[in-house]
Amino acid sequence: MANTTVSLSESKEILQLVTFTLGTEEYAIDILNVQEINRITEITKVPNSPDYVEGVINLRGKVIPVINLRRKFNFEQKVTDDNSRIIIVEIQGVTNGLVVDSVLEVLRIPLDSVEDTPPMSVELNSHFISGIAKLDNRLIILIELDKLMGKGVTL
Amino acid sequence: MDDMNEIINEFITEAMESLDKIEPLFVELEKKGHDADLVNEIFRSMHTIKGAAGFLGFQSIVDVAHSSENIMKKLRDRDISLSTELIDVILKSIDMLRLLLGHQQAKDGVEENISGLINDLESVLQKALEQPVPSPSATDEPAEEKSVDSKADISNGEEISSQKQVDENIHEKEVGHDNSLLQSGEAATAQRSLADEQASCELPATNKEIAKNLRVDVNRIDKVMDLAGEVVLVRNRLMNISHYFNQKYSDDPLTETLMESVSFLDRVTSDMQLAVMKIRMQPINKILGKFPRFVRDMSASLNKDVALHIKGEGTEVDKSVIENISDPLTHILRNAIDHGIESPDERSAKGKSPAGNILINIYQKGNQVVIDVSDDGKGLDTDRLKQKAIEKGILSMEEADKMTDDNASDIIFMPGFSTRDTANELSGRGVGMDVVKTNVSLLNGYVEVRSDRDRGTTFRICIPLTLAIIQALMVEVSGSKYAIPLSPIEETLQVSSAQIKNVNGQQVIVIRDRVCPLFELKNLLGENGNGNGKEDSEQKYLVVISMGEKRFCVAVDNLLGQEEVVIKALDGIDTSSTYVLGATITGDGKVVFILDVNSMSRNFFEIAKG
Amino acid sequence: MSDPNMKILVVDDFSTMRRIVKNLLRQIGYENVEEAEDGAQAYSRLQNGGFGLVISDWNMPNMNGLDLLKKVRSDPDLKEIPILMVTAEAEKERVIAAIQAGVNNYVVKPFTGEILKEKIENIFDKVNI
Repeated sequence: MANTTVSLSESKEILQLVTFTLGTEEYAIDILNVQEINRITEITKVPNSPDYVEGVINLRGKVIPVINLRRKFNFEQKVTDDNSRIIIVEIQGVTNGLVVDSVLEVLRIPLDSVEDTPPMSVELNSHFISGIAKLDNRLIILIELDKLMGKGVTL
Repeated sequence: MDDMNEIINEFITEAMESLDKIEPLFVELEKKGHDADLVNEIFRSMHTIKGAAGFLGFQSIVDVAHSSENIMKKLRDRDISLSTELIDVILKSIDMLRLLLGHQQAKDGVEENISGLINDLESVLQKALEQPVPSPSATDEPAEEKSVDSKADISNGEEISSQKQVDENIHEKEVGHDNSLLQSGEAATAQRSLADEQASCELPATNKEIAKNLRVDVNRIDKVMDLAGEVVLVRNRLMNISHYFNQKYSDDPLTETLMESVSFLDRVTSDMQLAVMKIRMQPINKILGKFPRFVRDMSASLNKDVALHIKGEGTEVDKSVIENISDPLTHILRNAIDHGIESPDERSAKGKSPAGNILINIYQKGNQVVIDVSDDGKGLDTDRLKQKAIEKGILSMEEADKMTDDNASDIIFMPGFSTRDTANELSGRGVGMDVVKTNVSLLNGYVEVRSDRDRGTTFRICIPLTLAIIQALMVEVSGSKYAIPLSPIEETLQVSSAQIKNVNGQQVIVIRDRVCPLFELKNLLGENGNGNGKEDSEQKYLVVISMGEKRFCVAVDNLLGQEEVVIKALDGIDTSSTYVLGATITGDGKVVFILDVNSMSRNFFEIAKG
Repeated sequence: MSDPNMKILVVDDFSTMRRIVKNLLRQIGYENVEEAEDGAQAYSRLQNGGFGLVISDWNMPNMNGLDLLKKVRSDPDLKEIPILMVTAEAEKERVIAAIQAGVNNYVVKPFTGEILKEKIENIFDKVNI
């Protein structure tokens, strides 16, 4: 699969994104990567795994690893609540779950509203960021999943 | 370009399969003498390999296949008669073809020198042609024969000229034919199909059967298997609910209907799970093909006479079993021919038939596939086994004295044990039967041996029907459930903390005079374990695990019992340092990890060494 | 000339060979190709109709190329279908038997796309006379 930047620019001026929150910030991933969005189910911890691996879940008989995005981005920890969701994504043939604070909406935005340069506030994680979308008074950070979890990226 | 690579790969696979299929036919042919169907099938395979290799420009393969095909053609036309020499040289050319195909596969550019083999093939054929053939009617005038035998380029020249002629002939000829030709043609067809039917009775994998098969990506099957597993979970939930209704509304007539429906669903689901699992299964005869020749070659080199009998070759086992059982079986056969079967003289002196027998019997028993390899040789000499084991320091005198004959037979599975002082070329290489035991236990199976002095030895391999399902011991650690594969577990014990000693910082426990290192599973699984760590209790449960010569215990909080679990892969997680080999989903939908005792053993003993 | 959309049946028990022939056919502009593993399977496919040409191997289990040829020629519905035989050796008696049974042409392995094209065109030149 091509990386997200390429597939974004190919989508004829319009991006279709799923947006979600972590803390006060708004993030988005390409809708083509999203398989489904689930409420938090029982997560089994994986022995001897890095701390951002929240554990595994049973997704219709398949065992899927779940990543805690707050931990992955070195944010402060927060107990999951009713708004918390697991976004099931497929990256390079591997299915993963992402724990997020809440899922907002499916968004169609024009490509020219995306800027390349990440602002200072997210510089720690700029590696995973493919751009910033400016929409009215919202700033949405676009995450490049291939870089976050693609092949060669060890969980 | 990619297309070409695909074709080449397909050719290599198909040609290899073809060779695997014809190899055992030679042994059958040798037994039966001339058999038109067998000869024809071998001829056809050689012919086809030659044809396709020609397109791909694999000249060496063309040359070897061509010379072998020539011999088969002469055999088919009964111009020559069958001899051991002929069979030997064609078997050699099968080996060479495999080697050449291997080079093409590896793309290593290695050239084999085939001229010696081609010379052998030609001179053996020449010799055979000079021998009188039993049926004189088959001999044509010698001039005709020579022109067929002569070098390929000359006959190619002929082909071209005759082809031109054909083109012209077609011009003149009307599309049609006379009745007499048609009739004889039909008679030939009828005869042939009769012959084919006979052939298909003897050979389990004929092309007719293959035509009914479908090549399906394993991933698709696994997907269906996952879904079936999901249905099982829904069924379990429904069963719980229906029990609740049964207790609460037992008067309601619909409750009974509900119970009936759910129990029907229960049966259908189990059947479905089994049916899906069976899709992954293949008949074991795929790997048996090479054994007749193996036995033939090896017994000949030891000047023994051994007949191999195979029963139950249609028994189906999981794909992964097929891929891994071949080596252990080869080793057992090697052992039987080398150590089991006596020389013809020795056998005669004992009043046995000079030719020994080995029977491979494969059958299904419950959830297991059983493979018995029996020989009618001299049996295991248990006294000698004990004595050897003591000499090698594997066994103490006292231990040896206490052993029953059955126990003493198991000595051959002990690491580093081999009864021959000098390992011979074929069975030796310093590889003992312990390798068989290890390989079989990797398949979650076990191997045992029974022996009767001078009546023979039977090795029995038992493997679960499928590797996707294993028997596991469920244990509890810090409030979470884990599964430990049952096959490497020697025993479980309950001990008090006082029995656990500490030697140089390593916990150990003495079990029946043997010191065994002990590890807390809680510590192995790290701080990431689920639930709360319990206080160390006075009583501990130990699981004793043995992997070959390595033996260790893990301590757990509780033993929950034995369960059959379906192994699920853990895609997307690097499990190399987690001591986890996979996961399973329990009846209530929870994920439970299956522990990797293999990597535990590896780690512990490496640390101990370093 | 032959029709490039003509449906061609390639008959060979060795799947690599079927693929090679298919590839060569594609090279020379024939895309509409179906396969059969032996004469028996080929015959039942032919009965479904629509084939403009059969390219068949000689040595096959169940029903060999010659028997397929004979069977096709004796079937009133199928007897007009042109058949090109593929063979690795030009044994005279076989070629004669094939001609007597009504083969349209034959080609010796290994062959190139060009040779195959020539053979096919040869058949259709004759058939159309």
